[in-house]
Amino acid sequence: MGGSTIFPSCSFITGGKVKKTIAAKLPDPATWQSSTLRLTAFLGPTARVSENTWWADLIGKPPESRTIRQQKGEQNDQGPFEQGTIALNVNPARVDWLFVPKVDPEKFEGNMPTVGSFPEVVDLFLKFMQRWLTPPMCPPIQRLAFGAILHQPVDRRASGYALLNSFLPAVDVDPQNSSDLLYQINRPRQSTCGVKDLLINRVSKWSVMSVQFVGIQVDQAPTTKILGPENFACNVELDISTDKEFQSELPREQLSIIFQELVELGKEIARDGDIP
Amino acid sequence: MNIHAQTSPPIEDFPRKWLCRRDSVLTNEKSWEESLQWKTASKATTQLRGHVDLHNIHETDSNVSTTRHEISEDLSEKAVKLFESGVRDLLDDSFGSNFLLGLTSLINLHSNDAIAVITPFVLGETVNAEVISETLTALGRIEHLPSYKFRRWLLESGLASSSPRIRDSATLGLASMRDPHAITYLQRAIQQEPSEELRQDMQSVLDYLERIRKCLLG
Repeated sequence: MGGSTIFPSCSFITGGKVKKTIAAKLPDPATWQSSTLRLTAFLGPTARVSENTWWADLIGKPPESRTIRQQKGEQNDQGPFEQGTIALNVNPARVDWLFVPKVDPEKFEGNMPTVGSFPEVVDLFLKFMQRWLTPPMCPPIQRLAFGAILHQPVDRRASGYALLNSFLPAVDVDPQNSSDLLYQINRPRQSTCGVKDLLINRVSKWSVMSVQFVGIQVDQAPTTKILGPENFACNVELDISTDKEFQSELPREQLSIIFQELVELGKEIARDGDIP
Repeated sequence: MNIHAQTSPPIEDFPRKWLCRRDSVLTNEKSWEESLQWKTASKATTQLRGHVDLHNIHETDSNVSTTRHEISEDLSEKAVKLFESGVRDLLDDSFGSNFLLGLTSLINLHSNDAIAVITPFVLGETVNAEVISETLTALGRIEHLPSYKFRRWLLESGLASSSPRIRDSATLGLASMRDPHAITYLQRAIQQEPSEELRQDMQSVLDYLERIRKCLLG
């Protein structure tokens, strides 16, 4: 996975003036680390999910832990998957599958938790989820989403803003004199998977984060201990979803393809930044 | 073009049962004209922020977000108490206005979160069917636009309830909403409905919504 992507040179025009011309070299997408990958399905009115057997059907054994909250109609399952943990959260209106890091306190070295390089783990997640999305296992779904939280470690805050600058052609960031930038945008597109009038929201939220892990000892008088240095990272949260205005349930035989399209659009943002 | 006057169905076309229902607390549905105006107004416009290519962007608000937020325990407790009080009132033979006021207030204050906390009670059928039934009828009539789609979803879901009383109320609630979106779900419900009487009620609401759809299509 070597090499870098060259961002195509382009100009953005606002009020008749050329805003910014970019010919920036963007890092290899493999440098994005995945903190969370998510599939969210908003259920159709005919879905009944209270006695599902999805975990056993997909994983082949019962979950490591299961929590049922009867009053809220919620079911939360968890168990190991690849280098991380898969969580299944179900309620009467939505289903969330989450792939998150497993943090082992004994081996923790102060780095930001990750399930691995984005291009690699997202394909694993996609294949896993496509099994769930294939009929007859999946319930009727009226809206589908792919979410991801990704980060690229940088050595200091200014480097983070310089990196953001290259991913955000529509925004001018002064790396040396900036802080607390939070940039969120939706750039919707028509779906190309063959479902008529299906719009896809491409929401991305960009920031530079600073993380420092602190241990808290609670057995006697509570004491805190800094476990590592202050780390900086360029951060992007992706929320790629079919539009909520879509008027009917999504065609069941195309759910797998629709989700693949959502993931591909997420990959595109990770590779090319915020582009129309 | 004043399409409202042309498309609004005559009042005598409404399902008879819908007109007969008591509605002591809630005001009636918004007018047909208001409904259409709202739909037009809901097309969000983008505000200009920063130096962004506005031609390729719309809806910068959080309405498109699919991230999950935790619903407060406090709100869940409020819903539990509301349904408990509903069941108590039912036993005292005083059921009605207090429960509906509480439900309306919960939805006005907490919008979709309120619908989310009552959904398990309705679909899980964990409380008295009469209380659920009144809840569904009210959900179709409450004037609260932000929760409109979630309320409609819950009513459409209620059509598949194991209780005929709840299916009946879900049908009634959908009639109140006058939204052709429910047509598909009513058609499915009619195919599976074992009660002849309820099937006829569903069919009359279906016919009514079909007429609305035809009007809308011009």
